[in-house]
Amino acid sequence: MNVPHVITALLVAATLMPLVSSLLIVFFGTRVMKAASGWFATGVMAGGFGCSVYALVLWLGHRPDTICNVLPWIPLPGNDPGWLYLGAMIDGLTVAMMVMVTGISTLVHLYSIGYMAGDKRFERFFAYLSLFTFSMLGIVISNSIMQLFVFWELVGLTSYLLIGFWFEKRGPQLACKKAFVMNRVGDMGFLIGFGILFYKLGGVVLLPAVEGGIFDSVRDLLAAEGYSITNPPMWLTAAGISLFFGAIGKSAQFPLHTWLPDAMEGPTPVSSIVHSATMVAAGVYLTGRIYPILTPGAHLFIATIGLVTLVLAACMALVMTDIKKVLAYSTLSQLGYMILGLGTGSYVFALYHLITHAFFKCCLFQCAGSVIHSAHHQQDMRYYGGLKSKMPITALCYFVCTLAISGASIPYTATGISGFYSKDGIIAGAANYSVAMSAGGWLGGLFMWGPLLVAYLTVFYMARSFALTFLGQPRDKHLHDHAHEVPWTMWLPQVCLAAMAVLTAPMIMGFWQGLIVETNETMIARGVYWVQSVADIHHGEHMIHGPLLHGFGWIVALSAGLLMYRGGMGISSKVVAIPGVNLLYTWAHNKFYFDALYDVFTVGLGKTVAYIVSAIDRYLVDGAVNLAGWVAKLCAALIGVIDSRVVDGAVNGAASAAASGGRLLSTTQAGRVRLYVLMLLTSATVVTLIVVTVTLVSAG
Amino acid sequence: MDAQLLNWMIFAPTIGAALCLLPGVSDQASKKIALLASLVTLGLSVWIAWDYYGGGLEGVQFETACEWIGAINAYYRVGIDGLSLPLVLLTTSLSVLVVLASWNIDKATKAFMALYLFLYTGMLGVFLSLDMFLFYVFFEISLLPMYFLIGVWGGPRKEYAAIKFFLYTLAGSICLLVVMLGLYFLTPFASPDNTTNTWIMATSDPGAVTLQSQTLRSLFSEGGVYWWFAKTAFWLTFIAFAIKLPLAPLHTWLPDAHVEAPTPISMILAGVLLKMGGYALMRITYPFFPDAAKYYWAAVGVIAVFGIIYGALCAMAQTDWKKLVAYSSVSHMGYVALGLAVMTRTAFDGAYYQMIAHGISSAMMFFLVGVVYERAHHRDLSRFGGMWLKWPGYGGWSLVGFFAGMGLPGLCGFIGEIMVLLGTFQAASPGAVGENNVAMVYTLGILSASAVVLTAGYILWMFQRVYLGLERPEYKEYAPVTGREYFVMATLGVAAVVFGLAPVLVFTLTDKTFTSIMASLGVS
Amino acid sequence: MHQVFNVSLTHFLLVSIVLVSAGVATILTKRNAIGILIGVELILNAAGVNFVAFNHYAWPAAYPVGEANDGVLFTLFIIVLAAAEAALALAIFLNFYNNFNTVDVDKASELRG
Repeated sequence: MNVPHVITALLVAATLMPLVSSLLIVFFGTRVMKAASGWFATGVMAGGFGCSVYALVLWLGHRPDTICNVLPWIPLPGNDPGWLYLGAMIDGLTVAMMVMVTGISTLVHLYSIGYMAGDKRFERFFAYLSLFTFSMLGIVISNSIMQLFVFWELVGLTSYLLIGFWFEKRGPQLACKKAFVMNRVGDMGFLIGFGILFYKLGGVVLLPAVEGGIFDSVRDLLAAEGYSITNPPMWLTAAGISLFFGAIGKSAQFPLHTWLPDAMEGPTPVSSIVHSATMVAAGVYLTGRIYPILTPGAHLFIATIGLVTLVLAACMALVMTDIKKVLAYSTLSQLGYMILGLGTGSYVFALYHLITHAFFKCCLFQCAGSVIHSAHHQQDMRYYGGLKSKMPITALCYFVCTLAISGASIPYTATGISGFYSKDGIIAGAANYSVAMSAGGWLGGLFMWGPLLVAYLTVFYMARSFALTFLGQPRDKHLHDHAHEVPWTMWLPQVCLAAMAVLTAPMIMGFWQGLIVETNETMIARGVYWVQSVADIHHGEHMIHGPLLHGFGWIVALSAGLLMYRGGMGISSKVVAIPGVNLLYTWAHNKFYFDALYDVFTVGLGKTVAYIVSAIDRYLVDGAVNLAGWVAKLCAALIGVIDSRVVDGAVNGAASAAASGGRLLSTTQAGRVRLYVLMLLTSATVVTLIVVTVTLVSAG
Repeated sequence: MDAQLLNWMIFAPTIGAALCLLPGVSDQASKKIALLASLVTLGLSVWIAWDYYGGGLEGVQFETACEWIGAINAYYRVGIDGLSLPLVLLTTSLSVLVVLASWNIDKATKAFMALYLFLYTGMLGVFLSLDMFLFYVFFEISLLPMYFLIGVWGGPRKEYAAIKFFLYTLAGSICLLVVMLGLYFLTPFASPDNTTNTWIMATSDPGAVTLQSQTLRSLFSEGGVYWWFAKTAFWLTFIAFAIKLPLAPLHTWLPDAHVEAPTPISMILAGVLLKMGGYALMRITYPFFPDAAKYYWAAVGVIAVFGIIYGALCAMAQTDWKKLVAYSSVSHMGYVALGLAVMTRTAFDGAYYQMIAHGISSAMMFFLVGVVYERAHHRDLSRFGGMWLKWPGYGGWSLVGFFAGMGLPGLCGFIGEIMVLLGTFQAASPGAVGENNVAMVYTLGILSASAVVLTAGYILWMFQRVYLGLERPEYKEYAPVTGREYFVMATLGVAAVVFGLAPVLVFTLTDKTFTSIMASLGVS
Repeated sequence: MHQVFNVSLTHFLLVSIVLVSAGVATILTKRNAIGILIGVELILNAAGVNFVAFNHYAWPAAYPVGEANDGVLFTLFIIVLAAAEAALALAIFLNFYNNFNTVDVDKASELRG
């Protein structure tokens, strides 16, 4: 038995199974399967998870990096003789991602059975959800940039369908369109980068750093042209940044991040999968896959984008009162960490954070969904409060995941919850990078202090959302009376995910990490530029030991958040009074303007920043997008007018000129026979005279 | 291998047309005759394709040649090769669907079916002629039935649209005629006895003198005696076929023709007639004047990219649903021109595939519009909404159709676009046309990549306005979508998926022919 | 011996000029369709005279019949055509008269552009 072949077969099967179930539901769901569709899709997904896990077990025994070509697809030079093959590429990262995506998707399917019960398009939801998972698995298993792009776009399509699932309403209509179009803006960059690589390398490129992959091709080419990856030609940096633009769109990084909060218009299970295992993860995964060809310039660009995103998003998360919006902005911020991690070279921890984040963020969204589900679809946290007693399981899961995203640890030991391991590594790696960048002065320092401070901000806003939702007294009696614990199909996935998030034993966490380390070590061994090994990063941790999450800092921030908000907005309004801004204090009495007050004060030091950032986001960044859309429409209208008046006008003009000429001549056709004869005679005479004259003149 | 098979295929529709016109044939019977003729032709084309596959996929096969007008050495010469076969198959399979789509025509049905079948022969003739004179004749023949089909069965401004279509295309034909005459008087240089004129475009006869002979090529090459003629002729033929394609700014006949034409005619117009332009560029303009093409590649590329973006912007501005789809054709056909302009194998393959894919997706889009138009009697985008709720099945197929048009991977529209795009970047490689003008290559590549955003913009905006949202009260009166309509949608939809996943179906047929064409162009 | 009056080509041409002029003058002055028809006949006959005369003086040896008698044949054609044309024209005039109660050609202006 050829183990790599079996692994490949298992993973390809796991990829295709959701596609099959999706198609079956599309064609037979409403007529044959009906309500059983949900269970069917969940079962198939669980089967895919089983395949992935079995593949993982096999993989651990041999650790074979495999590339295989399955189906000839497009005749493009470079990959095999003249044909681009659809196929699979399997290494540690692939296997880890496969298990994570199928696992989370199974749980989301299960959750959706409860959440979507009674929806009139129940079956179709599962068809979309399975298709969505299939697309993401396709990205993970792709062996070439081209194939990756195919599934990349399919993810775009299915997210369009899912976000716009309740398309009767205006909000989802606009949100799904916005998501797709903004993703396409990123894709444009992706295509350009792909085009440059295609032209330079003379063909389609395989993805990984293994023998014959993208890294080898680029390195050989650079050597031939007299360059190296640290002294790169401009096109390589441009190609890297262009490809990364795809990731900016998909992973909702600054400046293309505004679609993600809007995407909250979709059903909550969609948010839980979009924000964890699929879609936004795709961008990070892509960056991880093209990592070997990134140049120092591209690294700097990526790190900067990550830094800006994580800071902006955390500030915005502080000011939201809609529970899903808080989580959405927190996703943005965590994605910023991952991108920053990739940009600063802590490859292992960035992708590791992708996996840990997937579990706890999926759980957080499911908890939020459960709360919304049992609270008359009220999403505003100001109407919650005291739900802990009504929904104990959900509250516990939410709290555990709050700790996980905060990176909670036992102070001054190296033991903590999942988020601690990954985020700490990213910050330490960023610190290393910032030392390496110290030539840039204090700007280099931003790469260290930015993520560090935002880490505390994260703790604070997550504590805030927990406290507002579950602690204190009910602020809406009716809502609280109605609230109830959700059925088992909904709380079971939450518990599973929370358990995954809390499993701190280094064995389990180290296992995930180990899979990625495998890929990381391959890259280091092959000489990829600026990959920090795990040892490097531990060195970085020692360097900035004190301020890191190791300490009591997270406990302070968590307590501050919990204490401040456990009584709802009361304390925060008192806090508001202390600085003595009377105008804002007056607003505190007006519930409608509470948001504005809240925005300014809870952010503390970053109050002005948050305000400006919100404004920038809303008016400048989003405004720029709207303006671009408006300008495009204007141009289109203008060109439409030019087209019909000028371009088409020329055509019509020629026709009417011919017609009026004809009309002019037709006036001589008066129908008088004698007149015709006279004209005939006259013309004949004139012609004769001319002929005679010419003859005579030329003769003499 | 029956040599007469091809001739039977070309004229089977004409026989059908004659049968339709017999006195005593009822309207119903004429539909059945048309369907039968289309099916027979489809069967013959599949038979021919199978034989071509068995015949090694190489060169021109099924060639028939007999003298037609001796005085000007014009022959009736037809044959099939890798360049024409996929387009012939597209035509024959689309035609069956078009006949099905015209089942509801109740005005002078017999005449409609007869004209349509006559048009069908014209289309096949264009793709299969190997003699330039014959090509020209078929090129013109296909105009006339179209003129009547639009002018009699069309919408409110049908006369205007029909005349505009006819005259505009005819103007292009004049350009072609001028070049034909020029070629005719230059061909004796290529023949051994220096006196014989020829019209042969391609042939399986190795001894025959063709319009692509080396002697002519050297006359037409840069520095050759007739370099000036090659440069002029390149543009004249380019204009002739760019009008048919159509390429902005020579496109304005298209939106009018589409808007006024009945649904089945829009399908065949977008699905097959536009492809004649692209096919002729590949059969005539580029192989005959490769040096001129290389000389002017940048200009052609700029026009093509302009067309892509221009068409997309215009589509975005439309409020008429059918006009939006028509402008999307302008945008998509720009990729064909761009793929040719940069003259790399990848782009050339992509341009060809774009034609096949557009044949499927645009026919489907026009049919989808037609299904609603037949019931609503208007196409104003602002007066729709919630169509997906009204007919979930129709909505689902619409998703496939319009996203295929948008170029979503996995559907047919993607392959052509991505190959053209990649091939464009490749034009900067050593030995390719853009070797010394890399900035231009990058500009073209980046601009054509930017069109993906615009395309997504107008398709999604349209999709939102028509399909999403709540049903409108007037929908209650609409008749349900019939099984016949679902059959057409599903066939095209499945084709869109199949050709998105298995372009090998087309490239297997074209590969060897394209290799020889690229070799004769003198580029890699 | 009596003086033989030598008829030359010029004389024939003079006759035909007179005929043509008369015909044109008739067409120009007459409004009556029958009159115009007569004028047309005069012009046709002038052409016939010319054909015969030129034929004779071009190939004198061929007279009365021979190999080169194209002019004579043309004249025969003209006579036949004139007859056919007269029949056709009279039929048209008759219809015209039936419809408009006149044969004044200036009244025939239905097709005016």
